[in-house]
Amino acid sequence: MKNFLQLLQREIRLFFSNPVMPTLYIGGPVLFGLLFGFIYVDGKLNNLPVVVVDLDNSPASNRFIDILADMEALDVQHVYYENTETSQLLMGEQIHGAILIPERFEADLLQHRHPEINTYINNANLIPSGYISRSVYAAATALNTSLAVEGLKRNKVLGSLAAQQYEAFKVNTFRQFNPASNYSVFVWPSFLGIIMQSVILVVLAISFASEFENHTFANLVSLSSGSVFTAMFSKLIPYWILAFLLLGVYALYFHLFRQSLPDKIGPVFLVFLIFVVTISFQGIIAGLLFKNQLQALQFLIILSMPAYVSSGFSWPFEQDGPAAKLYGGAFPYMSFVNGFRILFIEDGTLADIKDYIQMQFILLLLYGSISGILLKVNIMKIARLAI
Amino acid sequence: MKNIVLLIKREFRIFWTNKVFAFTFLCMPVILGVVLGNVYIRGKVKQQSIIIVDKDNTPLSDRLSDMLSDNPTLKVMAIKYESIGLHHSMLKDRAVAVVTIPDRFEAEVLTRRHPEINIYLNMSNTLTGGVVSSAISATAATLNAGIAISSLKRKGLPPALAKENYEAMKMNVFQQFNPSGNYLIYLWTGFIFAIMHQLLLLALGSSFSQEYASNQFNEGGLLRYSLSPLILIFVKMIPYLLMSVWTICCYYQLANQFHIPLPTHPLALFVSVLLMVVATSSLAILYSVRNPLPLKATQLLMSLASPAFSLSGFSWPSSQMPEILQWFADIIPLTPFLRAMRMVTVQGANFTDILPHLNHQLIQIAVYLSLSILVLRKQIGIALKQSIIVTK
Repeated sequence: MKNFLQLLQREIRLFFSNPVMPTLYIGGPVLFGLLFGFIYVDGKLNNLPVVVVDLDNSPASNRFIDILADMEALDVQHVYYENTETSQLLMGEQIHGAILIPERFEADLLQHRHPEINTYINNANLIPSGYISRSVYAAATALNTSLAVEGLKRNKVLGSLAAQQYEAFKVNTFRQFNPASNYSVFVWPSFLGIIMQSVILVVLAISFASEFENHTFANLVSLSSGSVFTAMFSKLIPYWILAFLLLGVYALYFHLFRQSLPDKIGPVFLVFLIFVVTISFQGIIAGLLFKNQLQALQFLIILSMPAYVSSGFSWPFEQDGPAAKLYGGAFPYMSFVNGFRILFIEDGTLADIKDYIQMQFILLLLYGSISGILLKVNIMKIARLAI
Repeated sequence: MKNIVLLIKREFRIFWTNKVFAFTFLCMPVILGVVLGNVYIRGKVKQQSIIIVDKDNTPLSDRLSDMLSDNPTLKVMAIKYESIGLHHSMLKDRAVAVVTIPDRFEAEVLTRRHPEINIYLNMSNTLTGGVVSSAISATAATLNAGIAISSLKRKGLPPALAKENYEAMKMNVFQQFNPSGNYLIYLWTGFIFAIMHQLLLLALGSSFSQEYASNQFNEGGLLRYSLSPLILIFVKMIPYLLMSVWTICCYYQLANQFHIPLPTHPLALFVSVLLMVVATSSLAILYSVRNPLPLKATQLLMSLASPAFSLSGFSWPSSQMPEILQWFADIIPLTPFLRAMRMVTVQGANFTDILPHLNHQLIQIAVYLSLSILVLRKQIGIALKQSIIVTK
């Protein structure tokens, strides 16, 4: 026990004497968390620039432009009255869409000749294009409905009845768990997860690699009297404690960015715990394999980058190709982040994410035993050298 | 000239001594490019599970269920007849939506009493939620229009006229540049170049600091060949420029494999890539000249590279971020490049279209390069002075 405490002290000393570690492990998550929070600070896209080409310039077309301008997501930058070079406007990211109201729009409406409005959307970036097509559709439906209801009223149908007769049935959509479809509610927790993953992975790899680089590994082995368990856990525990301090910082960030914390914190905590432990084992494996701080850092940063994309957090995991499934599944991030979301945003219970927790445990055992074996091999090598 | 060739050879030798990084630099872009392309290999989200609660169970409600299951985006997991424990089954089956058709749906449609269908959407993933929502709405709108038209026909309107009379006006939406809304086309190119950007920062971030660390930054080592800061920087850059061409060729092959449409003006893209590589290298060199510890320089650069993709406005438009982040994004070499690249690859832009972004890249290069030269000149001066002191 006394040995263990000594080792802990030693590890903390090493942590603070390495110029890279404290900034990486404490500064990284704190600053990145703040940064990502600010990127998605509004959570919704507002005032996306569009242009209208109004070839009609009549009361009806102006009414439609007013409806468009009232949409939250749209910002009508300019109304043109001639259709010259409007396709050039869509190039780049300045203008996201162009709405073309045809000539004789009002006249066609009044004579029931069914005019057509054409909308050109810049689909190069799918996120704003989705917002724009939804808003334009909503504006068109609003105009269509009011025109249809007015038409029915003119045919002497009562106002209240007219509103009902327009459609055969009505469709209500209730958006659950994230009712405002706020992008930042969706994406932010997953970013915090990926930051934790990269940082823990790199820091533990560096911590083990530095023992080899500074030739202190023999010292570590002798202090822990050759026990794999003591050597490993004395090096792990300081980082785990710090990880939970960082969790506290994140709780503050949730407050700062006005995100709601889950009711039941226990299950979330459990899932996070397994996640952190598994990644630290992965980090140890990398450190023991590379035995060089710079190499470990360079390799791991690149390796962990696609873990986010292939995890199924935005693009569903089942739709990944086989290679991507293999890659994503090899990282504890995939099972963590999917289970975490069900607990966190959807108010699920541990029973709902049994499969993800199982996967987390499988990875935990796998990486735990690999790192244990690797450490044992290295300790035996040192012992042989000593003889 | 002979010195430059010698220096470039020396640089390649240094590159090869770090076997792990050589592997990372040459092979990881290809491996990760395949993995990332494999993620979006289907391009569109399909077969998302939904649950239908059909409390009516009549021909009309069956018709709606059939239409929903015919939609390629949707996969009807179960048709239930009671809405008991919906929240639970939504969690258990991981259904993205629950569609409830009310009791007496058909009767109310026939007697024009305007029934309501309720859709409960799981919005915890906005991507799947959005796709499923528009698929269900489209299906419901189709049924609605069908009913409206057939009722007009029953009133004696000829079919052609009935179709026109259903709506006052029609709305056509043309999705330009990526008409199918394919995710592979949308994201993959951005991701692979983000990887390349990060690798270049890693590679050159330790270039000069490694010379300091291995005590080669003196007249016995690197400075024996040349004292001109420009040549030294140039020599460090050349090997990576050459190897980036290899990476670009690999990406080109991968793009063919994944059936990504190729740009109409490939030369414009190539110029922009080269400018990005030079700008990124200059930035990394600036860091490494200032930081004598390779690990520290690398770590500082990573703090810039990791959020670069999110900051660049490639997916979340930069106009929606706080202004200070927009400034920060403008410093990063990836930002103007991704803007130019998207215009060239997806929108068919030519040189004149991307000129503002190319100018942005040139300014970045000018700033980073001149700063690195200044700092390097100072460092060379210090190194020479030290060697004089030592010889004395």
